[in-house]
Amino acid sequence: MPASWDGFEDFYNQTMPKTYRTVLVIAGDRQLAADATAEGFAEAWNKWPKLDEPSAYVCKVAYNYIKKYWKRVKNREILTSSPEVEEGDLTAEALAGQAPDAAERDLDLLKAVADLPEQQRAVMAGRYILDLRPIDVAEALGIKRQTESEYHRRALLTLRERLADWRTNE
Amino acid sequence: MTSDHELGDRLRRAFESEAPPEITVAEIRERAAKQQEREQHTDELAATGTEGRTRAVTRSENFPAGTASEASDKSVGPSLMGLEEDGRDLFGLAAHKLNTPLATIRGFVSTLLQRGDQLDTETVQQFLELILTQTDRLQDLVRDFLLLARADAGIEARAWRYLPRTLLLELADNLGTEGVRVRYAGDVDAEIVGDGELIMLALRPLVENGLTYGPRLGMVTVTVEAGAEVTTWEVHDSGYRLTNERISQLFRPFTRSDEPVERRGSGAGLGLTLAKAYAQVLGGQVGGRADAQGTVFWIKVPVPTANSTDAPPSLQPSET
Repeated sequence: MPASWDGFEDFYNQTMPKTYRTVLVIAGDRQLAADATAEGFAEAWNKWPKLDEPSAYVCKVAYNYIKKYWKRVKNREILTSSPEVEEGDLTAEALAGQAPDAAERDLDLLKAVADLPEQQRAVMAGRYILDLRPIDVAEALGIKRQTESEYHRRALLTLRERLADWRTNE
Repeated sequence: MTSDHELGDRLRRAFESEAPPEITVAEIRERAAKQQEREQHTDELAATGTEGRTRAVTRSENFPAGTASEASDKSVGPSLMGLEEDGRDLFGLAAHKLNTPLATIRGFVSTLLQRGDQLDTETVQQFLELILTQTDRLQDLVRDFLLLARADAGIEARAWRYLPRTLLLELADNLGTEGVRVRYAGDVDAEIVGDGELIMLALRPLVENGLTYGPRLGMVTVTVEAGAEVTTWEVHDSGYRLTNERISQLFRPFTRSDEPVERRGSGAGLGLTLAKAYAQVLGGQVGGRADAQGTVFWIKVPVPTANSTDAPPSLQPSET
């Protein structure tokens, strides 16, 4: 166990809600998001206080946890010859569904975000919900800085197009 | 045209009201301890070079051939713990299993002694609860070791007539409040000959696993099929969590599921080993499979040829 956990509790209390929301955008499932968030903070606890950028580290562990879970579900679907689950496929309902204030949610945006590929969604969540620097988002997702930047660019482009289309059609 | 920041703000706002889960720092600490335990366990397995060792079934001569397909366990040996055959240092693993909760207890007691006066009442309460949880875990471990040792030392299976329904009701009763999540199907009212007590001991870890690792608040179904030569007990939960390959590994001592929901379990990975041990005493087999409806673990036990009526009173068929 680490010699000292000074500061962990403050870090946890300050960043957990944001981290959970970030992970929820990626996972689209509250139980999985809660589980992955807890896994991330538990790993951070074991590495405390050696982490340079604990938020990015928690996010990285949580993201890997989600990917591992999706992979396992996919394998299981293949084993039972059921329709395959595409990793990371989400719906707006999954993102907003069952939330107490679902009716008030920005459903257009949620729909557009849910349609983004999983890694673009992760980049958007890391940058805008967890407020990570692009370099830390890249580190958390295990991708190159340039790749992160490209995902961000494409995500913004898609979101703008989708939101503009819907507005035009209204 | 919407700017980048406006989009970012919209995304942030869309999730601002999302309430985070109620997970305390103490729960994070406990999970961290489990992670360390898993890592140590993995290191130990790697150090002892255990992966993939299996041997042929040697105790199934009296069991009808061809009935145990799917993911039935093949690592059965004269020693139910499989100490020699498995190739693992099971004493070492057992010591490690005991050491982990002890180390956690020691850590929290030490913190309380050194810094107890600086901690608030709520934190102290959380520490004490964690100590109690770990103590319970130690007690469960010792109980499982004793049960395995008893099975390994050789228990004589008896035979009497009983109704599966009576047995299952008693099992549900033993599970306390969780027992309400167990339902029954199949030949529950058919009179069966065999050792109902050992069946109940074998079924219990399978049902407990279903309750623990299946969907939250989901039901576990026990289905009985009373054949002329073989009685089959199937424990089914609707959790999609295991592959057939993983199921076949879970019968090895100290092997646990690594699914996300495992946080709900605190066992040592001996439940299925116990089920296997009791099934073997009965001359039967255990196995499992993942299917479209969820996860199924089964026990198949041959119907004894000689009958007797030395039943424990609790499991004797009722007169009605």
